[in-house]
Amino acid sequence: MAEEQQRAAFQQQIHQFTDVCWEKCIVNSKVKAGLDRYDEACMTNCVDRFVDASRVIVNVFNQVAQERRQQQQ
Amino acid sequence: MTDVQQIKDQIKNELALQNYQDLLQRINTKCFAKCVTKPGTSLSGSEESCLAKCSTMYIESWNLASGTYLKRVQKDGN
Repeated sequence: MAEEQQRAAFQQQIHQFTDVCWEKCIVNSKVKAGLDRYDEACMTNCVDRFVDASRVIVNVFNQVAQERRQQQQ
Repeated sequence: MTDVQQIKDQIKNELALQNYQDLLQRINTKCFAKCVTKPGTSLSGSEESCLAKCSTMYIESWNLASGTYLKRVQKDGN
């Protein structure tokens, strides 16, 4: 059951990545039979950088939250 | 087959259906935006062919995002 939940969460994550990266990479790309190598490279980089970016944001957020806590003590 | 197994299978099917519907809804939104720029009294042949190609591109993008993220998760253990 935990596995199913994990799968569902993973798929939701992929929906979000595809949505965001489609706007970055494909929205202005010519409609054709399938993705070309530029589209593919952009999609792949986009997903990886999105993960990087979310980590940076989480770190900054945690740091700010910790500083707040220390100030309050 | 136990009742528990039946319920598990049912949940599995519903999640798969949900995933499919989410994907379909997004394809609709993205490809309508890309292909039907000036809605007329009916869909033109070129709009229909654009919608078909665009759907393929979206599914390929989804698969690519899935593969990339899976690799990333396995590499980072996160």
